[in-house]
Amino acid sequence: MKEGYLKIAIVGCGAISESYYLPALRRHNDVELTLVDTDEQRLEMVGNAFGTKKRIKDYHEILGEVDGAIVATPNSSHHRISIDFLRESSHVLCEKPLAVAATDAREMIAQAEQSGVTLSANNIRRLYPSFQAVKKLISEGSLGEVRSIVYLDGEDFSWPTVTGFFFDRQSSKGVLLDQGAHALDAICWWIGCKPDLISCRTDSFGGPEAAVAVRFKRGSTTGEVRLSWLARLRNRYSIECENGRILGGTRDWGKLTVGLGSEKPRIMEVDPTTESWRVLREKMVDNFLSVVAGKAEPLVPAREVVESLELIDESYAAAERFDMPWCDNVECI
Amino acid sequence: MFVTGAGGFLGGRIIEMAHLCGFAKVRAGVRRWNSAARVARFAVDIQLCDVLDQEQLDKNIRGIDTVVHCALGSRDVIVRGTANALDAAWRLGVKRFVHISTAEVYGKVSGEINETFPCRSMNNEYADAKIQAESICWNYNSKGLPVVILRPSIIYGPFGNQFVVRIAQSLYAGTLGNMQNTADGLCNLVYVDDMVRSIFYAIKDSRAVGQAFNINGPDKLTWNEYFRELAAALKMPAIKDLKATESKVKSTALGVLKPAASFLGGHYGDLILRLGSRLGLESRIERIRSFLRTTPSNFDLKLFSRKAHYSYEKAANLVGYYPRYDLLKGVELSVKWLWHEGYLERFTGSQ
Repeated sequence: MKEGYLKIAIVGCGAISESYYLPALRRHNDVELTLVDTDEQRLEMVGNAFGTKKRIKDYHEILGEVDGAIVATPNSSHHRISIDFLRESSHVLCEKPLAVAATDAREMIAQAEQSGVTLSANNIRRLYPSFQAVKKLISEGSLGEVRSIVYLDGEDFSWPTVTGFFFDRQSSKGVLLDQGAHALDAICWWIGCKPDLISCRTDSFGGPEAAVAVRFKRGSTTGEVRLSWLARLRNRYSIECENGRILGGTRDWGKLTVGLGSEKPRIMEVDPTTESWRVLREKMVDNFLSVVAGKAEPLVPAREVVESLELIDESYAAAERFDMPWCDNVECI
Repeated sequence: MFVTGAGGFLGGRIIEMAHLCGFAKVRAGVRRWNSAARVARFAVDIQLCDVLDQEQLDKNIRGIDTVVHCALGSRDVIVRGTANALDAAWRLGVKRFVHISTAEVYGKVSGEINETFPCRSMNNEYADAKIQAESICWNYNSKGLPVVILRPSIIYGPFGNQFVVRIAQSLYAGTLGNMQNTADGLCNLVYVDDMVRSIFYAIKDSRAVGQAFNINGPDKLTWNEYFRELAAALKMPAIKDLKATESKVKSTALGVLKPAASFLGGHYGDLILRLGSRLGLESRIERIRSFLRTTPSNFDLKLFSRKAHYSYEKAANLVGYYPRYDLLKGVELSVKWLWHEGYLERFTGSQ
């Protein structure tokens, strides 16, 4: 290794690596990067696009040889691949969802602790200045206790997935694990604990669900999260508190609306410097490199997202199907 | 059974119904993975299949008895894609090839239209491509591939973006309403499940081979009547009266603005939204977007005033196809679906 260089591996050269991790990493000339993907064509295409010469098909070849690994493979392999790198004392930044089950996530965290390295989760919405402002407003208590939370997030699925792993019913769950990793994490983070599940309804007929509604409560707080891969929802959160309310866009990192008591709600511009998505992804990747270099703590430590994965597990276990009369008593000929 | 274009409105419903009622073991062909979310909810086999890629078609059709060809797209996708699918089906010994065409192949017609009417070009890229695709179908039918052509009129129902989501959104936006003589043409609505059943008949009944069939619903309604029924099911107070001149001016403006807006949105969309947000112009930008999304185009207005009815009598007599969903039933299910997917919450601004 060249002195002062960080040896980093990106495992998985799919859409998230191409659009998120690699553009952020190529700004760093002190990184010696290895690309890993089982698909040789993909490896060549992405490697050429980003000028990365070191490319391998099997990540086992570099176990113990890198300082840090970014795990950006299909969800069901996050656990196995992260554990392998953590065991060899490499720091890991894992794409969200951290794991497909909370027990897997806990094993990953235990391995990181045992090896004395860090495990971070790419729960990028934790970095949204607007989401951080919600956390602060609720923690400070100026709005009083949270009474209800409604979080709606949906778009026609347009992620340019290369392998289509999202839709593999053997290894994948659906929109709840995908977008729920953001939504339920935000809820748990904002209210400071995992709420109790009331109900979960999905539109699954044996495959990964594309729409879900999760209802929950905690003390006097009730809430609902609705997510969709099939249609654009209102894409906002609405938090009613004892003495006011908070409104914001689930994809709007720069501002939110806050109403205190009977005052007219006002728009809070929380961070005008975060002009684009690029700034956020660079913040996450730069933090990981600083963590690997021993200069910083992870912005999103894995242990902080485990509660949301538990809630996702509980939701799947309790899931019932939505009432969808257009799918009842379907007549053939 | 293999379905091309399974990521689309009709293709998706074929997969769902075939699976739900056990009609056949299905394989869903999607051009890109990102259109698979709907069909993936069902425990079915999903494969990538771009109809312009002969290798993918061959791989997917090998060992298949029946192909239902629903893939849509550019002229090339319709014409060359159909030729590719037919060729694969012919070489690989498929027993039935159902080609989904359109009643648009008859061109600008009026009166009662049956299958004896000729296909006529009317300088519409979509219809012309479909005419060409039908012609290729007949070539393969002559070679021995058992082909059936179905010509649906206006398919509506859950997941119907063009004639359910967009119409509902336009009714809320006030760009559609009681449009008097601008929308007094016949709307020829067929509920999507009826359309799918017609496909099943085309597969099961050997008398269908080598034939083209119009597929339509049971009601003979005008577009104005459809707008009123849908608005009533949506529990809208009253729909707006729109003058013909107003609709024509707006659709002409749309014809001019849309290409420019598409260019600007495609190239500078993020910048415009950011600047708009900074300058507090979000609501104005949203109004422009709503105008572009919901204003009927010149093509729509021509469709709304066409006084043609496409008869399904031949399908009824030959293979026993009769529609089971009248407008009331079809609209009721469509509106339930609109609520379920969250569209109406968005259109009405509730929650």
